[in-house]
Amino acid sequence: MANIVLTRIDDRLIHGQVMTAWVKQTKATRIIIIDDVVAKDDFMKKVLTMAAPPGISVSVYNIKEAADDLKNFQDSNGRIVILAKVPESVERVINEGVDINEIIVGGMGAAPGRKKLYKNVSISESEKETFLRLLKNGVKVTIQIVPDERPMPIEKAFK
Amino acid sequence: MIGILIVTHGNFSVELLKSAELIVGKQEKINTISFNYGDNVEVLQKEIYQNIISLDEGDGTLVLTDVFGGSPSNATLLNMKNLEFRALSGVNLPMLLELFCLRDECNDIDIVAEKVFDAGKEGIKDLNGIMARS
Repeated sequence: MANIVLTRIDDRLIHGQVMTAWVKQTKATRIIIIDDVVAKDDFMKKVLTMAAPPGISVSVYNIKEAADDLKNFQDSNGRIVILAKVPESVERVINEGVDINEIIVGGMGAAPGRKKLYKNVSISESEKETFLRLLKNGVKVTIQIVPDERPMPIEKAFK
Repeated sequence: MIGILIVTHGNFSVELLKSAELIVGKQEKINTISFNYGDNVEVLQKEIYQNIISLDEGDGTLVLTDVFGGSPSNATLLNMKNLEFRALSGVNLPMLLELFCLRDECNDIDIVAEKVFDAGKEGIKDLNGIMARS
């Protein structure tokens, strides 16, 4: 099983300095983006890969591919950052048998159906239920935009 | 005339334009987009798309973004799948000043992009070094 050093939900995915800060903080060697839609879009895959911090490899997978890769990961020195746009992607990959016990939410943009929750995180009713299910299953979920900031447990924002 | 779109995090784009206009006067055919805290990247991508099209009156559109790897640049790059335009990241004031002077005389977007690129880089000078050598 892969050594996952960070699981992050941020719908901007890889974007320059913010990702660089997290990679430095976690000493990650690899970024795995998990998203069914993005995995099908070769152009977007190319753009995201270019935006990655130097020296780090990026894979863009759909849920099934990500689960397979993470479960069969051989490199014991690899430190992986999982990046998803929405909580559903993380929940589905956990349901495929991947061990994730902590999620950091870093950004979910405003969108129809979503209401502002806290700082730059807006969520819909169904996304809220997904978070509640994850919490119930023992996954720690916090909101933290950059490593320097203090993490806030998402339950507090739900109150 | 070449259309110009400046896309940055926060109001940098707006203020950059304001500062440039203080120096060279009011400009036309130029729009700014501010990407703010909590905004949606997909909406940003669409806004960029719409602006590139509306600013192009035959000579093309030059998009200037703040920093490579950031959402304004990523959203701009994603539009290259379906649209043809030129784009530079790392927008600064020297670039804008060069651009505003140049586009009055030149409608070739590739030449303009290259000169603006150079102006941006050359605009960064070590003031102490200059004094020391004078």
